[in-house]
Amino acid sequence: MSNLRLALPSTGALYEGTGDLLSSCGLSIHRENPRRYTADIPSLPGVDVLFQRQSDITTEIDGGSADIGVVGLDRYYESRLEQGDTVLVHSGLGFGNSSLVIAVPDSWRDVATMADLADIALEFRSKGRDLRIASKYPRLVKRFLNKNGVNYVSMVHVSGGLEAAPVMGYADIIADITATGTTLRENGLRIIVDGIIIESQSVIVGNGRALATNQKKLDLTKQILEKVEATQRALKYQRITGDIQGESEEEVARQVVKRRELGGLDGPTISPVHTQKTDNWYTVQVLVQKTDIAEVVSHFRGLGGIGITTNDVQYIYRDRCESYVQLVENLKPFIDMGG
Amino acid sequence: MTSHFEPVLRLPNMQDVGPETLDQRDAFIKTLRGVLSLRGYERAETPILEQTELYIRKSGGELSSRLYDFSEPGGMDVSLRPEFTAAILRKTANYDLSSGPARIMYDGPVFRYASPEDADGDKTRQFNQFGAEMIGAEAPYADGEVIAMALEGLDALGVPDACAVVGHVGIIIDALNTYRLSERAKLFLINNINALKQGLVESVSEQADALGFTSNSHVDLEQAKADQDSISSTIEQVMSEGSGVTLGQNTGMRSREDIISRLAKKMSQADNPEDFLRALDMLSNLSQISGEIDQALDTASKVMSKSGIKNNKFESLDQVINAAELEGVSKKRISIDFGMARGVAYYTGMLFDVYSNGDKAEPLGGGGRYDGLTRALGYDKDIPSLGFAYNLDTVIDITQPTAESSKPSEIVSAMSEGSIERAVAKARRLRSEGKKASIDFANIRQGTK
Repeated sequence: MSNLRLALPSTGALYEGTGDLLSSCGLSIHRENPRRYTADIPSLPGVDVLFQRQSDITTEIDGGSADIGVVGLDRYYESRLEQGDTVLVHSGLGFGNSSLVIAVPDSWRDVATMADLADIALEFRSKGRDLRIASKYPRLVKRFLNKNGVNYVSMVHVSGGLEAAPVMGYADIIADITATGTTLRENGLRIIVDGIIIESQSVIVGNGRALATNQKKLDLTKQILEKVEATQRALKYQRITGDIQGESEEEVARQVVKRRELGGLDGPTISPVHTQKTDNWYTVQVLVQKTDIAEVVSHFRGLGGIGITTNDVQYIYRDRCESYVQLVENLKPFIDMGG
Repeated sequence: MTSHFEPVLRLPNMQDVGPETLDQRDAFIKTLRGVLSLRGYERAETPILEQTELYIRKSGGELSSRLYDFSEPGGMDVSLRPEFTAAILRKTANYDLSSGPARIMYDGPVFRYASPEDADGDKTRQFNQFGAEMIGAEAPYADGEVIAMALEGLDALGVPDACAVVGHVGIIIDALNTYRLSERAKLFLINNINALKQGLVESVSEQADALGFTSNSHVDLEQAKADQDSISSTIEQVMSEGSGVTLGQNTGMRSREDIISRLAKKMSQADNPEDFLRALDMLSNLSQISGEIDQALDTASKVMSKSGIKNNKFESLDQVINAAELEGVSKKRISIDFGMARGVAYYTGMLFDVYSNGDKAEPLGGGGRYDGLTRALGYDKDIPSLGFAYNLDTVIDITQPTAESSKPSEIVSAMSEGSIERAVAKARRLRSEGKKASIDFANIRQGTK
């Protein structure tokens, strides 16, 4: 049986982010040397990692030369074919957050909104020119401009260094991805107030047909999703442990859950401490959101708690893997088609 | 042998159509042509492919993001037609209309793209319209004719309880003109009328904040109010005094003068935030008024007078409805909706949708008056015009099939006739008698001559 081919971005913020995410999930990538474009995941045999240009990943998955891959949502929307085979496998990995925005030279003091830009496009038109916009996202950008009444535009296709286009003079304005807006500002560009085309972050996409018809690939994808989801959930929680004196287990439990919101994800675990003393001590463990830790500590203290410690947890698995359930739903059209 | 290629699928949200629907459509078109030709409408056909520019000029952003536009082999930017009106106007704009309006009817497929993320992303992207335009006719009697005709057509097709909902863009624009607002602000308000109608005034208000309609412009220009030249010099002065406002090095293809003069123009038309909020409040109230004619007009009058608007154009709406009544339309079949303001880029007066059975979910068609469209298309005159179109596919969906379904033809079997020669001879005889006959080519055996 063939392996699951996982395409990952070969450079940039998404490369780093994906590496960090997989490491934190216990799925570290083993790459023999940094010049090799293939790698594997020792803890998950059966997965071939392929490092690819991010802009190619959606198309490659659609064409079937990779099965799943990590891309920005913006890239996915730009590149996917409407009736193609690509489906969303995980809708937000929590890194690579950015926006695709329209930016104009800061010197255009009279242009604040898309309505102004529509005006400028007409002004250019009356002088026999089109407003030129440089972008790596022609599909998304053109539709957004049209929707906002900016019709007389010509798209300038460039692959790198978009921010320089207006200074170099081969475009008037740009549409580019930005996380903080700093690079745009440093290059004398300003984001149009209502010029945000899409808010993006990293997602996993996959070839629906390959996943729907190959159980091994689907199982491996599920294992990745389980780890990602359990890790992401675990990041929000800590386990807090303390010793509390009381009549009985039940009595201590009652005291602890008086503050229901501090009772933990699934309620407290309570076990007796075997000491030489005559009074009863119990160890109480709860899994709580990190933001609640301080509250829980003072709650435990209030109950006479001692020896309070906290631990990070690596994974939290719930009764089901939400993103896998969603994936199975997204794969239905491919199963109905008979594969 | 299996093919090397996979079969090519139909495009998403496009349809293959079978005989029942085609027969029904033909029958409907024939009926509608009959109804309209009694009023003097003549048929016209325009190309499915036109220069993209034609539709951009007509509709601004609303339709242009839905165009199927591409570069044709000769290098021109072209689009599949998303509607007929612009092309019909192109065809008739230079007609001699001195002896009366041009009345034109048309039918055929139109194309509108919607991406899966859009609200109407699941709609069919190619559908059939039947419509009519009256070029060179003033309100209100022509408006009455068009509304009456749109209902007459549906009656003739057997659509149950056809009714019309009428609105009036002119009234909305007139009301907004009583406030001191820029064209931009007015357009923003009108574009958001649907949201206001649904009571989403807060989200519209937030958007307005973001776009700067509700904040005072950052340069105090009280003394230079509405005077572009003095604003220009104020800006120049502020800049030369070096108070932190500079244009920066790179102004691209626009000159420093371009920018300053447009900035000055914008400031001279800057919106008064109080006026904007009052207009927003008025429009939000007005847009939610709909229903029976007298009651709606009465409520709307109250909203207007409460907002301090003395002269309203309700009379022109009333006249249109009376004109429709003159054409035989009972007032019970007409209701008013002040929150109707689609296609504001070109509609100037009354506009309407037609429905069946009081089911307001999906209009069967609609239309309106567009007096300024010829100028927008580049001709140097306004020709008062109006029109409407049905979505024939929607009309067919909600009606019982009435077209005479094509009777199945008699199958002549080569086997039971004894030979293929006899079967062919029998089929030919049947056809010569006007009967349908087709031959089953199974088990062919050649007979002896």
